[in-house]
Amino acid sequence: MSDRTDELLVRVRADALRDVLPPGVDQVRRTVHRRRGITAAVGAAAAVALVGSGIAIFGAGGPASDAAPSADHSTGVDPMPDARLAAVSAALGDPNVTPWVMATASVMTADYENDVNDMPADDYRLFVYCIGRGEADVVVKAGFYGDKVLATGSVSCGEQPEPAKLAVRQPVDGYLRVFLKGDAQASGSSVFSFKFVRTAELTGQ
Amino acid sequence: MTADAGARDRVRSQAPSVEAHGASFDQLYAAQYGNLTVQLYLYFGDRQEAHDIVQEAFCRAYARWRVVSEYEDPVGWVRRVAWNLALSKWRRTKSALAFLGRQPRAEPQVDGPSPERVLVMGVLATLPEQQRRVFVLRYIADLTVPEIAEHEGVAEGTVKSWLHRGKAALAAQLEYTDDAAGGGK
Repeated sequence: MSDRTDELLVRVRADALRDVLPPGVDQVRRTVHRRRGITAAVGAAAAVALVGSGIAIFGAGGPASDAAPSADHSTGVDPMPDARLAAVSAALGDPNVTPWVMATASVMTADYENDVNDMPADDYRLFVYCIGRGEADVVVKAGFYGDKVLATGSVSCGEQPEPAKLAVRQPVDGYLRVFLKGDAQASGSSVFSFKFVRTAELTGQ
Repeated sequence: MTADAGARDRVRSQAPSVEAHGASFDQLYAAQYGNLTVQLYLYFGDRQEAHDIVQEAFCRAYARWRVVSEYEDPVGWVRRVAWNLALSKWRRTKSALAFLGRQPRAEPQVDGPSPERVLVMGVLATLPEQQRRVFVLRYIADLTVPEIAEHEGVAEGTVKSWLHRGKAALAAQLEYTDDAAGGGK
């Protein structure tokens, strides 16, 4: 019977494979180029807002995460005002002074999740900033699924955000996930940013 | 495009020069797109969802191809990202958004699934999610038991046990089908 099931599975795989029509690498290129174009536009807006401060937030920040979502990942969330984007990004500080391994910013939701690929094994400090109202729970989990918690905490939102600081030990090279659970006040209105800094590279933060 | 996506992309400090590696990326895509899609299709039972996820995984690989191409196993990286996406909120969110109102995309017309495919997918649908994933990784993706154990974070014995159950369920369904058709052997 085992041979028979093996043969069946081989046939089914071949049968299903025949139906697969790849969209093509040109579509991959278009998607990636489109995302980069939008990235440049958002970056330029934030940079303009920061000209007066002399802070460079886009630059040699060290290797970044590959946690890019699809273009339509959070459709339905309020548009992020440029000024608040700039402010919450500026809160991350100057990567030339304190390099981050990965950083991001977005609108707070009740169930935000960021899958971080290729996080090297090391000790980190996670800084979470939130501008606006309310507060959010922060949970970091190991791997790309499962419930092994690496760190938990909470962040309060305000106009002069005080960051939540969580110690995170990434036990092995690979994935980890960051979850933010904004409360009713924060979700959909507040904005946040977070960054992972190697503990060894912390400079008075 | 959203602020969320833009912000995440914005932190990429070193955009890879993907054009320089275009040929090998194209080869990887051509060689692996189908295999990965079939794995996820048999796991979900939803071909379009499998297509979406695999395409997204390749987009992520392309966006950082300079790094990924240097990995010992770029295929493994893309497979991991694809399965990660399959199990993540990205997929659930995207599915919900699609359901809520986007225009249906034109899906190429293909023949319906064969009776054998229907049978296998029916059996897979009865397996618990992780067992189904293990079964697909072994018999569709051709991963070894140790590779699956590492992928799933479980003991090799557990993987073997799940594979045995899956095969037994499939064999039982085959016998049942044969009996129903009066052609059992």
